[in-house]
Amino acid sequence: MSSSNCVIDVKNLQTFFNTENGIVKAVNGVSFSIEKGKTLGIVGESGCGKSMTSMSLMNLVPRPKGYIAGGEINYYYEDGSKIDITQYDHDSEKMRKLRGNEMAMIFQEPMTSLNPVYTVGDQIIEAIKLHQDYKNKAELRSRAVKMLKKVGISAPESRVDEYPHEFSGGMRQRAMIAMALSCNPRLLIADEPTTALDVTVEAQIINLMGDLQKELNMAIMFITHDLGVIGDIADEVMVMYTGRVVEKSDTKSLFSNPKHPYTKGLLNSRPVIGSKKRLEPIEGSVPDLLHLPEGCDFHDRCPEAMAICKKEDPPVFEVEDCKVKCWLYRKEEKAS
Amino acid sequence: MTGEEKILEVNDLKKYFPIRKGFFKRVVGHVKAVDGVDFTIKKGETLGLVGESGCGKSTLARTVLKLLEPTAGNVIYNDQGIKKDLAETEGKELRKLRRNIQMIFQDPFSSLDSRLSVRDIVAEPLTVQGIGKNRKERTEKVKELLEQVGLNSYQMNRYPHEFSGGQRQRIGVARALALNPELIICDEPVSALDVSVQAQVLNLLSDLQKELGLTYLFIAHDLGVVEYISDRIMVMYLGKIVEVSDADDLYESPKHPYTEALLKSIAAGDPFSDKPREALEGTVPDPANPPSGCKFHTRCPYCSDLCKTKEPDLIPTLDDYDSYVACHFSDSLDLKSFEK
Repeated sequence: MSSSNCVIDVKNLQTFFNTENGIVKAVNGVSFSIEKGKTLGIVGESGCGKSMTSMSLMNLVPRPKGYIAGGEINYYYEDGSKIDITQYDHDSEKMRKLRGNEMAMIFQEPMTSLNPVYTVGDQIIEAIKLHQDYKNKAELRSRAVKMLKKVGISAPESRVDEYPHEFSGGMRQRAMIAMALSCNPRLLIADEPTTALDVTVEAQIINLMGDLQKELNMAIMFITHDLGVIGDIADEVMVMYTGRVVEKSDTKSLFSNPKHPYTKGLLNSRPVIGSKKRLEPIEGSVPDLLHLPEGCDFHDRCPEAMAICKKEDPPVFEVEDCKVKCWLYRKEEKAS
Repeated sequence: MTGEEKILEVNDLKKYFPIRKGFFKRVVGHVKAVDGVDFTIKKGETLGLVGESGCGKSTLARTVLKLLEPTAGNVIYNDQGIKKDLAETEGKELRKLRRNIQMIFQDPFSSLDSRLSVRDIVAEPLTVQGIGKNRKERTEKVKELLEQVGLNSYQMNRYPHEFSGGQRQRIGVARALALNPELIICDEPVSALDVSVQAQVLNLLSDLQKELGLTYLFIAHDLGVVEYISDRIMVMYLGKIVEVSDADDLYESPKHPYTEALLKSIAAGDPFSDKPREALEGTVPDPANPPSGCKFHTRCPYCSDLCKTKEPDLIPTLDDYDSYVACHFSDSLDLKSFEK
């Protein structure tokens, strides 16, 4: 991957939590990079470390229990210089400049992530004031209005003075996006931004994000558990399970030729319109990260488990440009 | 699968919430959450109910069960050939009727009492209805129910927080089954779950339906889920039913512009198609101040003058006596089916 277009490059990231019962490895050796104007989708069930990966990128891992135990998160500035986020304190000047200005985040719950006692406009202005050099009040306000207009909120001049409770769910999410984009970030992290929304609104938000991405040439990291959305928006997909990446490939081959049994399971669990075929769910549920099974973390739910899966954790194999962490692909590795 | 026998008949059901203002809390208007809904459910079928949030799906479910007092209308339940109107029944009689109609809720985290053990949660309907001679007998029944929904009976002394989301939803299902109901109202039972767990619960619900001959009213906003589980589907918009149709027909030949818009906005999940999702603009209007005429006219791409003044009735469509649509121009419009 050419480094000139690379916005973020994560190598072997490990984010752990100290708990009374031991160390929970929420993110365990995750590597990926995203280029300008591209979208990386991250999928997996709840508790697979998706959100903790994004929190690590922002250097916002809940303290004091959580910490980044190892790895590198290299962020590349516009001029080509880089910064390793893991080397800085979460409250350092450098980090505060990075958040908002360079990378921004939208969360799942638009109601809980907006402050109910400030107007939407004030909250957008706060973000701009902190990160940009606007001083004049009128200028700040017109910038907030412009942002609301950009994300498709009608009558932004009057809406800017309204409170979050006066907005509908879809509009709140638009306001969140307006806030995130107010400082023209080069990397947008979207953590399940459409999960709480209706299909109609979801379609609006996805289209909006796609348009804004083209306009601003942002890199997007899109976290979701809905594979339908991933198919629509992502260029590349990373499937996570128990804090590890089990499969990484471009979106088309992930859908047409899923490799890891977990990916296949996720795809088969989804009801497909027009087919009344019985769903084939993945049996059981995500294991407790403190009591992971021996061998491959997925073997006790895996329909294709072999003897070796119970004993040894599989390494990552490269198959047809995809990375798969599964013993099934051991032979192909040898052949190539 | 579907018998012709109607198990539930809802006629012109209305639920208005008063808006009160001022010192004397004068009623200044009404939120018409459910505004004249008619439908029937046949024995053994699954009737799906879809619509955006805020269009009255959950209120409709609660009003049918009389958890909310209906403002007007009838809910006629066919109790072994004897027709009883739930809207008119009260007290003991109502409690007896509710044995036959149970509900599964959306949020498996808030719909189970965190201070009760699973045994007590599932046994509660039995205790309330006075079923089973003693505690021991009821415990036996609870064990049976837990096994039936795929949980281990030794887990019954645990508390809800010890279970995952999918398991909690199974406990909710077990509780709903405790009284051997005929009809179960499922209010978004899988919306809060991960895809893999969602598939497990959907399979469980359809297995139980076959095994016990249950009838479902299934509410969801995920059109894929609804299509998978339903025999017939109702589409609701702002307190009104706008289309009722056979599940396959609804996706192949939608009759109402709103249905078409919903189908267009589904994530196809196909990375090979470049066709963008066509999003329906705007949001559901304020039900306290609904638009005149057809309630969908403000967002409808096919809107004409007639739509702004006259509200269409829900009438049977030409080709099928069992499907209904509420649109002035449903016969002349050429609406697109769902494309993969």
